[in-house]
Amino acid sequence: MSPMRVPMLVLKTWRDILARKGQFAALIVLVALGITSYVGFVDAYRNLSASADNAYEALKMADFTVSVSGAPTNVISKVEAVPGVKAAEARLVVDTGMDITEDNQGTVRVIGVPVEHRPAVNDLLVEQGRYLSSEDGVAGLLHTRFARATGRMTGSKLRLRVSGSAIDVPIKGVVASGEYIFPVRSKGEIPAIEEFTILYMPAHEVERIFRRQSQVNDIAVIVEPGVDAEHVAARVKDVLEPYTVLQTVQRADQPSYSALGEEIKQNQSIAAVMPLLILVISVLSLYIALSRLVQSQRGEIGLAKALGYSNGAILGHYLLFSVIIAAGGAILGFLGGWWLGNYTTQMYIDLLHIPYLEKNIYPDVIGAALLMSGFVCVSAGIVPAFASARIAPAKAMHSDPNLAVKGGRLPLVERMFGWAMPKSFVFRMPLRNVFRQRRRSFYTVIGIAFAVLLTFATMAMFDSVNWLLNDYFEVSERWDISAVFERPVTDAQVREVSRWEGVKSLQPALAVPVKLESGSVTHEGAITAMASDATFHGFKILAGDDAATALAHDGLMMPEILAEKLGVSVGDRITVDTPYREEDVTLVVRSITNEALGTPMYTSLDSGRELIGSSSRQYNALYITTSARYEQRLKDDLYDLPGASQVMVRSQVVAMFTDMMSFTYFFFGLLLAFGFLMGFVVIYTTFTANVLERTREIATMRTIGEDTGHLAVMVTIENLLLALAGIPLGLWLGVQVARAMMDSLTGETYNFPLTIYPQTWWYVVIASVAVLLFSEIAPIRRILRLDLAEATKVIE
Amino acid sequence: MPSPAERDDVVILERASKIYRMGEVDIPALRNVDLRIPRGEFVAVVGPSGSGKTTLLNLLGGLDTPTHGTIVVDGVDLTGFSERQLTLFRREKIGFVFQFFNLIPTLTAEENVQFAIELASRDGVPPDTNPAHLLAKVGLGERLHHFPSQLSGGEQQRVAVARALAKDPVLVLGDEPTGNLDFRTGKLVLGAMKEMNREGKTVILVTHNTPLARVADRILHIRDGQIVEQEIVENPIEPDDIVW
Repeated sequence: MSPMRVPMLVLKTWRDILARKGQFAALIVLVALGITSYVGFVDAYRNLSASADNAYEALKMADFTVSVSGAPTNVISKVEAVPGVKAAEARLVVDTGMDITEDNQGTVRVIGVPVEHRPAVNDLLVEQGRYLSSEDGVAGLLHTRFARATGRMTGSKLRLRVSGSAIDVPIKGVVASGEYIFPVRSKGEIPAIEEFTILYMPAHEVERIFRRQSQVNDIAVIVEPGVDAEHVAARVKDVLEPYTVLQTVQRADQPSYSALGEEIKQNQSIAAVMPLLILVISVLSLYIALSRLVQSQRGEIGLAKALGYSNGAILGHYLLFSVIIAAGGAILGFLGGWWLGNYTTQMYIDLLHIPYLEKNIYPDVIGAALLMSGFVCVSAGIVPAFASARIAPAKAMHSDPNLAVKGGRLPLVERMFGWAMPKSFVFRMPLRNVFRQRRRSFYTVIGIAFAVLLTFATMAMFDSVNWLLNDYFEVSERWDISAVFERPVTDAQVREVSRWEGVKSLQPALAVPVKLESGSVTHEGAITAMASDATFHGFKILAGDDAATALAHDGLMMPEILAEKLGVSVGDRITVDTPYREEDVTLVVRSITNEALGTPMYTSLDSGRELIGSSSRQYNALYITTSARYEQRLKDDLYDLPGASQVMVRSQVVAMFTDMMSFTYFFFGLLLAFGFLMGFVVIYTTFTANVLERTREIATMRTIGEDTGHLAVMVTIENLLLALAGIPLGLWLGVQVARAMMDSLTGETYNFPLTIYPQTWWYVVIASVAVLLFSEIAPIRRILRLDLAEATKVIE
Repeated sequence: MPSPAERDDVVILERASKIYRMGEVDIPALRNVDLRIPRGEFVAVVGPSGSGKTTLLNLLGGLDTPTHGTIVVDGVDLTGFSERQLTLFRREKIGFVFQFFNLIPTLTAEENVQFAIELASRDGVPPDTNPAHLLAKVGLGERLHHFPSQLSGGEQQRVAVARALAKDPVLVLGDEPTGNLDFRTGKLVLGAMKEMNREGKTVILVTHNTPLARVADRILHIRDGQIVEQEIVENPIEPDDIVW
């Protein structure tokens, strides 16, 4: 049997690739980058989404919950009887203080759970230890993230602070919950893993400790499949009406569910935009490189045809380059994407500790990656390949010296403004070269623009997030310590706290849960009542009165996004439903504000009293300014006050938030790296093609005495001229893309106005030029290594 | 004939060799060549392909350095020259005329010539030459602002001749300068080179074409890297009289 022979044109393809390995490697890397970004980000959001869905399904996440001020435990049977209700669980949920360390306190949400059976709704995954039993007495199951962050595993104890008393709760197990993947109390709240946690205790013990015998205040419901949850919620709410319904929260608005949804949405947006950008650039770069290859091999093509190779064989030969790049790009890209997807998913595990984590390989993603890679490469290679098949052999084999002098002309810009330009050839030759290969220059400009776009849009998003944090913590929230109470704080208590050592100023407020109604649109949230001269919250007024005037006139101050949702403007009256009054209260919108986080609303203390139907002064929140050395002590003392449910020290919140942002910064870093790498490959590919094409010209210049330094300067000027067009275009596109990304992320949770710091423009421009200069090194080294005797005879 | 000591030799080769190493094999391209060319002489180098003609030209033009022996051009010993020194040497002393014309496509005829003048002026006294005059001399006074793509092959090569002259070189090297031209335009280019020789330039012309070599004062026959014969042409012919 004769050995199998590799077809000659296949062998030639391989040898051609080896001869240009740097260029082909760069192209494979570029395609791989596109595929990596697609596979990585799609895998990450699918893994995250699947993991969350698994957790919600396995742990019986509620479709909605209804909070009431207090209802008898047997109310559950009435709820279960509502048509469409598949399962319901009534719980007593109370926030109270806890000792994190001996001198640091936090907030714990204590939730009563059944001990005879597992909860029918919002079940728990016991990660360590065991579920509670009827013999346990005072015992608890601690949320996994707090337990791991503070080292409180099974067998340890958690000390609760309830109305000034300490209660030690033995930890029987560490649990994860679908309801608290993000352990936050309200939408838009920043997770403070070591400051707030959830403790599940036997229902009867919770009732006893908090003196609410046979009472529940939170009803969680799962509806039958195919049933409208909102409709069922309305019926359940009717049933619970006698017990003062405080709030109904659908799953989509559930704080943890919504926060995780935001994460998934972010990944989805990036997965849609990034690969598209990179793959468009891949098409352009590949087209430039393959066109150049066909042009430089005209003689070989002519010879192959003269020897009898068909047009189809030549076409196939040049398409094979595309196929090899596609295959290399797809394999590398898939491996990179798989790693990136897993790495990102792993980061989510570490950050969010999602139970039932999924790390899958998705066949449709592999298929799509292969298709994308193939489509990109073949569509880039098809035109040069057809061009190769059309070459006439006799003409191709004839070395026409005039081919090398094609394209010499005075560009319009030089004809018009030549009088103002430097006379030196060192400037004029690069300028003319830019216009000599217009299509290639255009693609290079687009390539540079896209690389700048990616970098600049990322930096702009980075700036916007930083601005948001800075705005929230430095402009909006002007307190050092905030304390929220579950029971009213009296004037006397306020006066007492204001006399504590270290308290510079103290401002009381009253937060009232409300439901706003405007036509058919409703919004559930909270209105904070504050004095007209209070300064703990800084306002940015977009329309209407300033804060002092609005509050002095008992008006409502509402964020823009909410005003748009409700369709109200300054001067409109809005109906406010509160759980404390039978009849609705009407407030006049006096100011439209701009808020960075969430949708906080503000009114005067008088209006606040009206909302809760009380004639006496009442507060449930205190805002304190102090100095750093008193923060911890004041926090501890505040937790000791009766009804204290949450005390936050701003500096600690900022530190935790910064820590939490590490994941976002990882993403931004990744996008920046992709941008720079892409810019490098685009410029490297184009300029390698340019230098290869001008081998004889450059060699001639060197032969007649031009030194390599001046040639390097000429190459650089040519690059900079292209960058002069590409960078501003990229910056403009970057602003548009960043704005679109910010708009897509802006909602009731975050309000991201596009913010770009002045230095960012410079950083991106300087970094782009630096990448450009770095990309030139290889083509310039090629110029230095030219064999002049040979190169002056090259037929191009 | 003046004695060697009295002669003003612009080129002196002493036992010059060039050996290329191809993998494990040494390929001698030029072997122990001794050669002297007095200033103002027109020398043609002929020989079959691979005989060493171009290697000799490359060594004289400072595009390559010898493996052994010495090369002195216009009193400058090129032995051990660095890349930078060779660049300056070429810039100052050598005019090249290539087979494929090798004009800069983005520069007009006048600018191609001016470019060479600028290079020569960079490190020293600007040559006393004018692009328009030089182009007029080669018959292209009306084509100053044309780009190479707008010129015929013969016109491009005449621009190349003007460019070679622009820096007022001591040595003009032509590597098959008519090899890519038709008979008529080839003669025009050769005429231009002959003219520059009449004005005192030393010209070395490499060619395959033996009849064409008879325009020179001396013909060097090269074979296997050695000068096997030196033929003094008693009555060099004019380009117009060439028949091939």
